[in-house]
Amino acid sequence: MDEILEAALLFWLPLAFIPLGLWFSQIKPPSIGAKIGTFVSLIGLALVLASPWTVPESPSSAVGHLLGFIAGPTIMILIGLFKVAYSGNVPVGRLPSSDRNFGALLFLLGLIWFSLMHWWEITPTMSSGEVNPYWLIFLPNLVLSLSSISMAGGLAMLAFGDSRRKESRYLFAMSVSSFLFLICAMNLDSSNVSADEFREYVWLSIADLIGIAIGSILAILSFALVIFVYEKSLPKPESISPPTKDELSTVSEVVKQNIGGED
Amino acid sequence: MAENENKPGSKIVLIGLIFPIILVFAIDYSVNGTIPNFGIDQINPRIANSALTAYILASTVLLGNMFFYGESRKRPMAPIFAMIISVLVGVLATIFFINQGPMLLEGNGSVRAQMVYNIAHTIVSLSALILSLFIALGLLFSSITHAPSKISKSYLVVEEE
Repeated sequence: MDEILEAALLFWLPLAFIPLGLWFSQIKPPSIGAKIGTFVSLIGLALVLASPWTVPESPSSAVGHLLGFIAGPTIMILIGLFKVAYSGNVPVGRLPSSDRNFGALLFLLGLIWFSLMHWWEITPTMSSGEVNPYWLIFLPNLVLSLSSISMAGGLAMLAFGDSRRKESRYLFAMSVSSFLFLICAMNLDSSNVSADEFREYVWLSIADLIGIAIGSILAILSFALVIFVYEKSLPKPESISPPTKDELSTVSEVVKQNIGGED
Repeated sequence: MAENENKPGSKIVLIGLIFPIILVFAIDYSVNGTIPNFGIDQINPRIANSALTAYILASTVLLGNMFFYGESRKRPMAPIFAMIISVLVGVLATIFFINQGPMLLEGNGSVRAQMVYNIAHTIVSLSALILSLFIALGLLFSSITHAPSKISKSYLVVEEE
């Protein structure tokens, strides 16, 4: 089979199936279409993860390779945070308090795993021996955006929360840690990535974040414009006639019966 | 009362979002200077490609949202059609700009290769962005659920008054 066709069928089509399946899985009320949507998403995800074996020649399969590498620490971090959050004061679905320590351990191990993927020998490396190029895009973006979002989140807790100074410290600590990680990685060579190479990717990731912000804002504006134009083109709803005297007296009777209290 | 007076405003929150980025840039530029063989010629195409691809991907996701918006409005075709045009404008603009020469090609040999690279690149960047958002939100939620409840405290203050 043609190389491009192979990549289209075994990588891009399954990749497109993931959001498509997710859309269909949201159909309300839940129907057979929603179940098929979930199934299609899972099949798509499995095929994307398998792409380093199914289409090894395609450069795009490096995305599947990266997703496979980051799945472990990502799942650990998210499950860890879930366990910590739901072992606290939540009204429903509360987990045992022992899950708090277990969750914190999972979260920290996930973060350490990510750090070691940069500093140690477990960096995502392709079969050719080169570091996965998408890893060099993913890590600076993750660390930089984590530092920014945590900083903004901490400040938002102070600005909009009520006496949340103590709680905001966790977010500030995360922001500072990510920032320090970034500065260290930009000045010290790791086992697979040189400091200069990493600096280059950090600068590109700043450019990336600016571009993503511009593109997303433009898309949201066009979406809002489409809805605005459509809603404006709709005819005004017909006004109903004012209530008659009989209707008003009925309403006042009902109000009179229900007004006041036991006092 | 004193704590309310010291609260940062919403502008500070927005500045907090870009502050680490500016600081990284400032520290790196001050300590290490410029990167050899790397400059605005590499950064500008990345911003342009990233913006164009993010526009296409975000419009496509919003096209899906338009489907659900239509669900509550007896499925009118006009807004869905308009959103499809919006996505197509993004795709055509990307093809047009990449076709203008090597300016936006970023080392790729053809328009198709650059577009495929752009989509893969943006998916990876968005994944990183979404994961960092989940981590920050998870930390925020965890710290709130493990803090003493504020409702009972404020209720007691009202009672005492």
